[in-house]
Amino acid sequence: MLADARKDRAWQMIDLQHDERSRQLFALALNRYVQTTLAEGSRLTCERVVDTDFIDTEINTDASRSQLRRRIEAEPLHQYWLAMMQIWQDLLWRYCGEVVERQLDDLVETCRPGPADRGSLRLDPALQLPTYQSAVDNHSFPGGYHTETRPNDVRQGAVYALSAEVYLLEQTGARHDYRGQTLIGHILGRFPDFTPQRILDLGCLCGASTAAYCEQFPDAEIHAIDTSAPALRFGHGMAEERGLAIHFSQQNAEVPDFDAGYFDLIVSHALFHETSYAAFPKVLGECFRLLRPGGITAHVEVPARIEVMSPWEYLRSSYEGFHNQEPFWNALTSYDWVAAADAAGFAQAAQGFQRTLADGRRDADPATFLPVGQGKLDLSNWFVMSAVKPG
Amino acid sequence: MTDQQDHVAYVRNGRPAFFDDPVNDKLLAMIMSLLGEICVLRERLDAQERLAQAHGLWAPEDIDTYVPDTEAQVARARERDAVLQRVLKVLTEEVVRLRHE
Repeated sequence: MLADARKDRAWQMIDLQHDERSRQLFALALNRYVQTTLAEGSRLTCERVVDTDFIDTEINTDASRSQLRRRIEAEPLHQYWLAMMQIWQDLLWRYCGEVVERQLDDLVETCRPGPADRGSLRLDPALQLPTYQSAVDNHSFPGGYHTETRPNDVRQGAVYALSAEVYLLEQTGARHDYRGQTLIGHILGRFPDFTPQRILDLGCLCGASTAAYCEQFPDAEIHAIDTSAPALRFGHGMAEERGLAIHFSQQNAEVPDFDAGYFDLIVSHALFHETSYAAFPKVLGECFRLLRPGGITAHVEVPARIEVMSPWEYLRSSYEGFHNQEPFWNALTSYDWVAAADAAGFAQAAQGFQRTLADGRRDADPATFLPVGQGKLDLSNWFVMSAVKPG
Repeated sequence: MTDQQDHVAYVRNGRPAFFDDPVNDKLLAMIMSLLGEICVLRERLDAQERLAQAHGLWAPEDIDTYVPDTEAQVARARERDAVLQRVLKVLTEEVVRLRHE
């Protein structure tokens, strides 16, 4: 819990002073209020409008959804919910930015690669950002993942890592690794004897999920790529602080530079909703190329599927796409991941909701992987897809 | 503020407005920011009073009669400016964004 800690949970890297911790706790309290009380007000408003104004309460076509959204966005209580969704998040970015800037000199120094490192850091200053990254600040995060304010900057990575606990309402574990643990549990539930020797994590940011693979597959060689240099530098610094050997490199997941067939397991954690319709099959195609025959690819995504959304849940989810600079979010809620995996050449592709797990090895259980229609739109589960390269 | 720092001081493409009058979006943001500062302040005061009393130094009544000296007044002015910056940042942000977009 934030309140107990002298330092934050970003692996004890970031110092939190008294007032700074109070600000984090206020952001958490405001987030909870917005996600519960205000969200309920918005939901009740929505249900009443659907009752009185809509004959087709299924709201199951693009046209009816967009009609509902326009109608509801004229309601004052819903407007408050929308505005407050933006406000608590923005306060959090600012609070975390202030904390990081106060100690940025030290963080930059601590994260600098050294001769005793167990892992490594390979940056590519010439990397071309894909448009879906360069055109938006995902999560309305001022400066986005890529802005650098000084040489060897870690600012944006540290701010992102610091914000995670409040952002996800303390529901991703003290080390923010539940997405990694959940996906590992899913993989071991489906393939109990699988022991990957070489693992690649795509879109790793600061490596919070990657660290789960270090824990559960201690003998594996672990690589992690992302386009953000500040996140990779900070992730490398955190991994070294924890004694984890992760090989970070700055790469676009559409065109990674590893050798074909090099990996046994390729994973991602909430990567795809920050890509695009065109990038999705390319990334999956690269997973296929980089895996050895018999290798597995598995991906965890936000638990937002159109099949299980009520009208209000559609509004809650589509807020991210329409108002929070997540341009691929809405299209992805109806995307057929299995068809995409089949088209890329994979076998045994399966998609569904995996219950959130704190320890992927201990908690692995195929009964916790449910069909898409039984998913919930909260962080008690995550959407997953996994598949095998035939061979 | 350098140009590089500017780029982490605004969100690309601007912020959405949800109320009929976008002035209200900014006002609500400022009120929430103020609420945050009040919570922080109350916790800091609470820490002061508990620490002071635990060390047998002073009780809340002593604060009512306290007059700050010059050094304290300068420090308070600096802190006040920082609070203002924090609360009014939704307006500052718009200015910074207009510099670049």
